[in-house]
Amino acid sequence: MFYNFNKIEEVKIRLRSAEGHICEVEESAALMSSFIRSMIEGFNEVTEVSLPNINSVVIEKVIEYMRHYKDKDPPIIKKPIISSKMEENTSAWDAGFIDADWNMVVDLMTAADYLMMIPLRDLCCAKMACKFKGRSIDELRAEYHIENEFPSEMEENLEFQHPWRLE
Amino acid sequence: MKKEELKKNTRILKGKETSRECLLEITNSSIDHRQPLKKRSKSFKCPNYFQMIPNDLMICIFGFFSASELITEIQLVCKDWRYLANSPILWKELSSANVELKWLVRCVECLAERRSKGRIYKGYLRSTEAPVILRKVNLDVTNAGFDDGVPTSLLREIGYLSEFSHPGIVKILGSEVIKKTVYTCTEQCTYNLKEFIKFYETGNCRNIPLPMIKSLSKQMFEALAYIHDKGVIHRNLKPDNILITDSGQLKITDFTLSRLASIPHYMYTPEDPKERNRSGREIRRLWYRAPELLLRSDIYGFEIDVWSVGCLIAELITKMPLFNGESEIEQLFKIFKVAGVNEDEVSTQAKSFPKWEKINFSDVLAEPNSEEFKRIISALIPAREQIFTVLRQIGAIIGASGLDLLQKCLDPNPKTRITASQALCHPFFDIEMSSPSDSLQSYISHLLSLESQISPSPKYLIMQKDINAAMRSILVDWLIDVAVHFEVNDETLHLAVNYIDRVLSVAKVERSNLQLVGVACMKIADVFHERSKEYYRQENSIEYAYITADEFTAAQVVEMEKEILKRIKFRVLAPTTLFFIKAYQAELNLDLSTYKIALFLSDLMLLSYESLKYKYSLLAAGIIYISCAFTQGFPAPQNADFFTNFPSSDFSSVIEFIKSFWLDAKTNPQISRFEAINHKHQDINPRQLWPPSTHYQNRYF
Repeated sequence: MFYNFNKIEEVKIRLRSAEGHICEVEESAALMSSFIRSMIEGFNEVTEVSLPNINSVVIEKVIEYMRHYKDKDPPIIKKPIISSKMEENTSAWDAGFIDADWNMVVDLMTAADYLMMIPLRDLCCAKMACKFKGRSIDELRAEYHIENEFPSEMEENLEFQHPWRLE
Repeated sequence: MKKEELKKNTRILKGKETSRECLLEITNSSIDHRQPLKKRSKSFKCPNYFQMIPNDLMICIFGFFSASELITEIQLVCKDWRYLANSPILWKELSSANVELKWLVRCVECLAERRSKGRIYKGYLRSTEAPVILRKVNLDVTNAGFDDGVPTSLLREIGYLSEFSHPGIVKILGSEVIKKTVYTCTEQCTYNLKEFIKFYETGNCRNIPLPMIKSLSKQMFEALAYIHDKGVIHRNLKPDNILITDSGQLKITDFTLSRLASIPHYMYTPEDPKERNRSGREIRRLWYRAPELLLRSDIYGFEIDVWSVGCLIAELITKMPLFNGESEIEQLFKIFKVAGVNEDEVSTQAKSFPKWEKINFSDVLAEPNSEEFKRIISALIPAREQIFTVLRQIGAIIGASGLDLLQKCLDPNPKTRITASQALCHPFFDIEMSSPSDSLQSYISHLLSLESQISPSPKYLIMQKDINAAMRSILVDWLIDVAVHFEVNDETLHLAVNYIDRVLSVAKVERSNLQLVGVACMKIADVFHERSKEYYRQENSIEYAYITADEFTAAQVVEMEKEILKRIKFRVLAPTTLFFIKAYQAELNLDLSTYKIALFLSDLMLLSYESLKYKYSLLAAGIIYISCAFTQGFPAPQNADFFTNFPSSDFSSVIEFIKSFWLDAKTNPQISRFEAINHKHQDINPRQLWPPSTHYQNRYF
């Protein structure tokens, strides 16, 4: 790493959003993203990264996460999740952070994937999993307007694949 | 607005696009052979919710579910979800976690259901889409109507297959016990030999080509030499148990009737006495049985497998079983018509049979019109013309060298029958082989490799809060008593102590449960290795519970047995000091009195927790050394090389250890109170024996 820790003022990385807004973040926090790391590492002069497919709101949210976990490791979410409540699967801060509406979670998940931030991506995925967890098949179909595409014979076939399902 | 952008953006991420395509390719080409899944449809029904989430992120989301949730819920929601929930990427991750075997296999067909073998399913591993066989055995049904623990057949199959790693032997992919059900999963091949032969019968080319016959027979001998070197007799080779892959790789399967041969041989219990009486149902097995088995020889060995291979090679050529007797006696007569009677056979039964001269197989190749041929024909009793025709047919394909190999395999005398590793050097297999491998040496190196893989931790008592070395000794002493009472053999006892030590190395055991662990280990060893007479009463668990003075119930014994099998990961084929002593005895050929001392010492060492700090092989060598010193004053010089194989400092340390423990057993009341061992070895009267004063000196250098 070429970052100089003795500097009094930390270098700020400028992230340019889809709308063209600039959001600033400390370099040490930004390095959580392997994508940003690969853009700036080895190039001392590079301080701006363009993220044309992430909008400002999401970038702000990502930066909030980066700052929080700047000096510590994010908790690892155990698989499989044990509850449909996020608080029971991970730390209180994480659960509070990800407590957002559907669109925000999806956008954040896609952004985290793009930025190659595995812990954040996993947090979002776990949140999504929580939304499905503990719902019956019919409830899921109703909630997300999914058609039942399986003719009844197919269900039988699935029964057959797992004859011990009913045991 | 935002969503549309995102949709566009996901497409911009080129890497994503390709990885998604890749995923589609992989999963689509290999998923569910009965009902292939369609590609993720373009006109997705619920664009508002899932369309902007790429497949790999959906898989990541599904990764937070358990295997059972994925199968019983997620995959039933819609086709897309079903496709994603079955993705190999997802299951590869789940396979490395601790997921129950039954979820990892997608079963497509129930192949068979038998009382003894359980239900056998054909299926595919979700993680790799490799075809597998999943066997599910309900213990309540398998045993006589109630759960009596894991039966011999399963324990042997799992125990042996777990230790084998050879292209010619079926791989076991996992096994587990859940409540009253055992699951095992093995790899699956396209054909078995029966189907393979049928395939050729109905196909265009009538005969299996000679190179194929050679390759298959050679692979059979290779696999056989491998298992024989590991000290195991298969005992049930028949076309159904020989699998062949698409690429022509042969794999031996079904080790349910196999057993460890002991060195030197002693009487075995029959494979399964109940099964023997149902020979009508097991007729196919009869056809491949060696004559010594039919004559009820109590001592038999690896030769019986070679006989079966001989029959199988002939069947490959003629596509008919060579000896297809309807009953045991007809089977014997058919064999004698071809192979002649074993001259060494002392059984009065065999002497009363009609005397058939041996056919010299190479004679069948004589010119049909020659004088010699007429002489051979007239020498044969008329009833043998049919078999002569069959042999001519075989000879026409495999030639003189093939006939010679076949005759050597079908030698009625097991002592002169060719061994698997000798057969590999036979000129029939074109490749020149220097000399057959030394099976005793390969057996010993097999034991050494087992020892390096599965040995108890030498310091496990540190983590045990509730038990100490003295309690372990009391338990072992009691087990020696039980072993004498149940007449189980020494190997069984030693295996049981190995299991106890391994269980204590990995799990905390309460004092009150120690005896339960002990009997359960003894029961496993008994069921796995040599079934004691108690086994035939079918209520093994009741007998073993009874021996604890009803301290524990049969159900508790069975419960503990399953827990132990889980802990030792079904690796029941374990090394022990005794196996090494027997192998060394075969190598050094010590006299009987020395050997008896060695057996006594090996039992004595079981009592010592401290002895675990030495490897079994080293301890066995030390015991042999001391036994020699005891009876002969000093080991014979011709055996010196043997002892110098061990590092000299370790060796002198183990010698001192054995001697001091032996002395303790005489003088230290802590150990001398254990009487079971003295009682067991009363023929050498151990109470009167004192350890020799010899120290180990490297005087040969």
